[in-house]
Amino acid sequence: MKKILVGHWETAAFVIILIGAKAFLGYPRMVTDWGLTAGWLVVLFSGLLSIVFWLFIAGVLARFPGKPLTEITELTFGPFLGLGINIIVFLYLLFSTSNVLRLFSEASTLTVLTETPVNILALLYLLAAWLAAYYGIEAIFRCSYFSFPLISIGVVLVLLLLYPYFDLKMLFPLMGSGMGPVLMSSLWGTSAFSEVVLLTYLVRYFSFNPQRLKNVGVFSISYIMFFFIVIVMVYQMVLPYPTGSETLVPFYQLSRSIFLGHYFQRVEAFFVIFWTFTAFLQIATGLLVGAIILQDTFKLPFYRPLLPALTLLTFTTAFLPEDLIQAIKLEGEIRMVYGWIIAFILPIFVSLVALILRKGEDKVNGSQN
Amino acid sequence: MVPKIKGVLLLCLMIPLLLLIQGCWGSQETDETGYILLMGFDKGEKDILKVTYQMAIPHPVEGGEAEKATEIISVEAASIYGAQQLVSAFVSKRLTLAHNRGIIISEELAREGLSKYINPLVRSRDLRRTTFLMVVKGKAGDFIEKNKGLIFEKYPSRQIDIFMTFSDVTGFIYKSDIHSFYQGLKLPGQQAVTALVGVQKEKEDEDPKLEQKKPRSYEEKVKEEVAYLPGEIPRKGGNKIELIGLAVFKDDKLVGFLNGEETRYFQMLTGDFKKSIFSFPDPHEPESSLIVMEIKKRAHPKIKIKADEFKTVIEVDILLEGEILSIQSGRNYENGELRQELENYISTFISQEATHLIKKTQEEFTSDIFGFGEYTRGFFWTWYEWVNYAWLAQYPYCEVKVQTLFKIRRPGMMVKTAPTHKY
Amino acid sequence: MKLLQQLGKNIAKILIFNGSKEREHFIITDNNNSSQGKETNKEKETGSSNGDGDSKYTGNDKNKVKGTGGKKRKNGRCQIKKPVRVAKSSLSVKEQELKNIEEEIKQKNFDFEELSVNSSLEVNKRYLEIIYSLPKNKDIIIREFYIALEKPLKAFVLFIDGLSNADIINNSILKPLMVLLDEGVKIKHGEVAEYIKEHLLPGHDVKLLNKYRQLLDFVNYGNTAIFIEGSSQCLVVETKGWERRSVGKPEVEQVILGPHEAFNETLRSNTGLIRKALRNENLITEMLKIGSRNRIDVAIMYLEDLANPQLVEEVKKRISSIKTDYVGVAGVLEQFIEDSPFMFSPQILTTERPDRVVSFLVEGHVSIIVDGGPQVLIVPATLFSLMHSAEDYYLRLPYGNFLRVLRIFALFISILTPAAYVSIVNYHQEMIPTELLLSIAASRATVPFPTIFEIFAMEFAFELIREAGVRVPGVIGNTIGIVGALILGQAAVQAGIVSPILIIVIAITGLASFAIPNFSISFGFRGIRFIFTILAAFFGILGISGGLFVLLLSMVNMKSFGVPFLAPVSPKTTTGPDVILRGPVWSMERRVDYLKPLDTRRQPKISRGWLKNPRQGGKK
Repeated sequence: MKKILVGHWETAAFVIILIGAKAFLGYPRMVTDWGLTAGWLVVLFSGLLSIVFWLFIAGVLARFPGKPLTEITELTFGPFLGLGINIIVFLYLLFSTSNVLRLFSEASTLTVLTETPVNILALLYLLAAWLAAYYGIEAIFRCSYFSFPLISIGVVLVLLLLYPYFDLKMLFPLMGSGMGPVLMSSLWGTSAFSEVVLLTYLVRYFSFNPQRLKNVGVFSISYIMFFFIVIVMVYQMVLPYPTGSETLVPFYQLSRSIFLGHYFQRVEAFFVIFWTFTAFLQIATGLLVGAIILQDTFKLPFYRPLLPALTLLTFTTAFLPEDLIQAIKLEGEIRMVYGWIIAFILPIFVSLVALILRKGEDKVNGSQN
Repeated sequence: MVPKIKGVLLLCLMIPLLLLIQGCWGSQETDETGYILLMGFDKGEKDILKVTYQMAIPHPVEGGEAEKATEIISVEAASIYGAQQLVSAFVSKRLTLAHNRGIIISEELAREGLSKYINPLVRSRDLRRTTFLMVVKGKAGDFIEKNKGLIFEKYPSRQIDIFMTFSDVTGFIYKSDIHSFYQGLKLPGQQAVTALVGVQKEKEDEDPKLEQKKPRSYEEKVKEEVAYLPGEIPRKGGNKIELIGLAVFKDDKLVGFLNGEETRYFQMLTGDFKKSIFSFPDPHEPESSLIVMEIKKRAHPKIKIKADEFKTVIEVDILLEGEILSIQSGRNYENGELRQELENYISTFISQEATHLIKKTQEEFTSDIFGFGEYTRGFFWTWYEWVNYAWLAQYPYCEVKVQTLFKIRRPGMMVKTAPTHKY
Repeated sequence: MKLLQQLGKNIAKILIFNGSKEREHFIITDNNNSSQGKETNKEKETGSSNGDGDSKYTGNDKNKVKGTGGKKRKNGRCQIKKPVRVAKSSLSVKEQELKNIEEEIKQKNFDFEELSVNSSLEVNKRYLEIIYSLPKNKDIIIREFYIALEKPLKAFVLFIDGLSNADIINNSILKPLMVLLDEGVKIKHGEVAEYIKEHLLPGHDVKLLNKYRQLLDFVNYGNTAIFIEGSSQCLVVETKGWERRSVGKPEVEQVILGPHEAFNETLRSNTGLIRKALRNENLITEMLKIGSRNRIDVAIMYLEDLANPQLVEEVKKRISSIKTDYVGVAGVLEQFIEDSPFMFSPQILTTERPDRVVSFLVEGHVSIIVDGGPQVLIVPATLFSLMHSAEDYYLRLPYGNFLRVLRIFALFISILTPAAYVSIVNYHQEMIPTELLLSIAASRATVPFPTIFEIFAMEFAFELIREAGVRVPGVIGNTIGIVGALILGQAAVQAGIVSPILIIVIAITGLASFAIPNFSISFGFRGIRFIFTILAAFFGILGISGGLFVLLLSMVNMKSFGVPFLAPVSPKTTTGPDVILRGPVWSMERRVDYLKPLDTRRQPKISRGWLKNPRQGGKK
């Protein structure tokens, strides 16, 4: 089977879109809930913290060149415990993807197409995502690379067009809910950046060495952190604290407020294209990475046959919460608050154990690269 | 390869077939939809709420006279959405608020408290936060019915848009939308305002028992050139409606009105003022001639709040610049000492009026509509401290110092006026 | 289980094309079974003398001139064509000899590939009569003559009337051999043909061949074959001359500033046009033959020191592995060698301008010229090269970039406008200004059909008009198309069937699709437009978004001869400033990287030597 390799620019674009799709869902609102007027500060701190976590994880990857994290887990913990940990990670990814699917479908129903039933929209998203995952890694990575400048431009356009509503005073008082709560929520807030860890599961498909991988991760986290900060700042300037924590889909509400005169108003349907595109990509990558993790865990030769089953599983999991409020609670209070443990702490734990038990490759065979 | 393509094709065919069976959801043809252009809320006579809709009637392209471009419907129900639904019982269209341009709320309703109406409006999917919000002196239904534009203005949405853009040109109407009103309701640093509109008073409406106003002196007439509430402008012709003034809210209840003049100073103090034309009595001949200036905003007003344990002082610096439009007396105000004198006169005048206005809001309305509270945000580190500070309760007891810095930039087209001969 | 299998087979038989059944369909005389092929053949051939020309074209006859021999075929269908000669009178010795050879022919299974020229002129003549079905075949002329040597030598020329230039044959072959020879020229024993070729025959391109397959290929192309008594080799002289179209103006790709020459249907003039623009010794033309029945030439041109050898290998491999009987036009060849035939977009660029071909060759692409049509294929092609036109380079930088930007808009307009109209009018009515919406609503109030039906009806009508306009003779075809569409639209509006805004939407879409320079890809976008409209009708703007996503996915996945379709954007490779917008000509320093050419630098960093400022390229 021909080896598929992707380059570092595409990887960076991939991770950026993966993480960035949150900004279209509920992330600005959550951040405003935690940090009140200092939401952007929460984002800043969580970004920096995630960079620290990532550096540690990627540093350990360098000890096992060319091996994805699933294999490293197995090497470190042995077959049974390693399998268990990988399954936990897979379940977390499944949970996250189905949440995203549910929230995006609900958001689309609420905002764009009011009368289409949610399951039809979810089906639409899933089918397109299935096709994308079927085409493979190359297709999704290149698609993200191609579309990420366009999506950035769309987002920047929305933010700039809101200029008449900017009010810098709304960003004060600076500390928002106080230093303590801000720092605590930054810790949970790293779950927002947790998708960067998925890169470690795809190591086999990269055409660059782990040193580059570290740089790619740092670059993507900082890029998206910058974007998040700008989005959250604009969000807090236009829809300040008490009202800001009320909206369901913050970005959509922002684009609704654009009013530049009689002829350029109510253009939010145009910006819908951008975030639905991101939704497609996000769900496709969720499916793909889930399939790849399963493939690596169970040592299967191909991952494509797993896709139909995975699609069905995601669909049913997405509709487990009975209503939208439950889904939002799942995302905001459970996944955001505890997700970082599985996403970051677990790999760090794995790497610590690997360090302690001296299971590194380069200890044994220094020339292997 | 071929079976794979066949499989994919089958899948692609199945989906549209499934969808065709169900039909497409939410697809709304344009001839089934009624587009509401203006909406008005009144206190209902038979029910809780009376909602008046002005619905657009599209006209065929080939022309014919633009007799009836809109249809005015009013219905009484308990809630806004209930009213919207009831309309489908007697109008064969499904109403949508997507093109709604303005919401007009009657005085009565506003005095009772508006948050129970604004909250659902903010939640609405159709309606946007950029919709204009106006309080009408009188009844909203009246306003909508009496609104008849000029011959080519078929749809009131455009009219209202154009009227609202005048806040940049004349300053005596404030461009208020649901967004700014909502912020005023919820933020602990400011209070809400809306534009004030009304209908021209008919001769029959005037109460003969009302005492005649005492005749005003020349100076007063000059100073109060635009100090009208809607409905009081002495005029004939044009649209029956008038948009001038400001409705002042405290928390969510209407507490008072500001006339056109005061609205201008309000906008100066918040920084929304762009330009307007002011008339002043001539400093040397206050009884017989006046000076007209076009005053523009030079920069954002500098607002400093100095608070210590005993008192709080609000210091405002209004920065303006102007262009001379008319000097009736012909004095050479364009140059030299006279110019300095004129500038000082106007600065003092404006500062006085602004201080007067702020005091009025402190004493009569006890409501900080200017948003001075927002400038105190910087004093605190956390939100909770700021909320505890409770600026809005302290506002009526603050000291106010307003200073205006006014410069005449251009003298218009003439450098000086030659004296008229007297023979 | 067996029943299901049987059922499946039956369904498969119905649905899937079954070749054997189709072949039997060609047999014109009735009551035939393929298993009785041998006898029926005999019947046919001894039957009527006219109208049995049909028998030659039965499927059973395939191996007659194909030359693949009857070896691989099954017995039922493999037939040896028995030559039937009516007169079976007593034969002279010579004829007995010939008859023996005929028997030999019969038994040898007539392995055509291996047949070589016989020393005896009569045998050769007999062979030719069999092969060309003379004397029925009136195009083939055998002109016998004596070469005027000391001892006159019998010879004949074989050529095809209409394909060869009679003047050259007369003046350069017959005249010198018949008339102009000095008396007393002696030929030593040995190679008569070689002597004639080197000393006596003033033709500019003479070959000595002795395999029939090769020399008949040449004769079929317009050359003349000279058979000489006693020589087992035959001379083939180049005498091509048939009626051909002269080099004309490009029909499809016209530019305002730039050359106005286009290819024509002759391979040699096409290669000549390319050679005259690219005067380089490294320009290689390799010839392949394609099509088992029409055996035309396919020329592959590339620059030896520039094009990636793997690319050239791949192209040759693909073309030479095609087994079919007729490839007449470049378009058919394109469909055989492209990577994804089911995709909406072509993966090979087709052009009819020599200057475009030369510019691609200089970048490192490979061009394929098929004899018989003015289209030349350029491989590999990316989306960006399909969207560029020649004019962008010949104009100055601002104008060229303006055209490019316009073209990108045209691309999006041609795909998305009807879909956007449907989605806005049906789902997102708030997007358009109120007055426009009300006038749309007013014009739609009298229309009895839903929007989606309107759009499909008008689109269909527009496509019909477009197709009809192509068939209208003359250059005004396209103009009639558009004008007709607008008038039709106007009439439809007046009748109240469609709304006028729709006419504008459809007209703008049609115009935008004309602005795309490559015909194939604009055709692809025409098809995609329908899919987008359906998606938008069901899902509003979400459908458009999903459609764009799937479109992007499929484009990203396509490869054209190993080069990803969206290079150089999608896998990020280095390239000159020429992807969407064009940089100035002096800054195009590097060749495109995705082709991996052998030499990546086009021009040095400083290419304008006349500038005064040394940093900008002037003299030091």
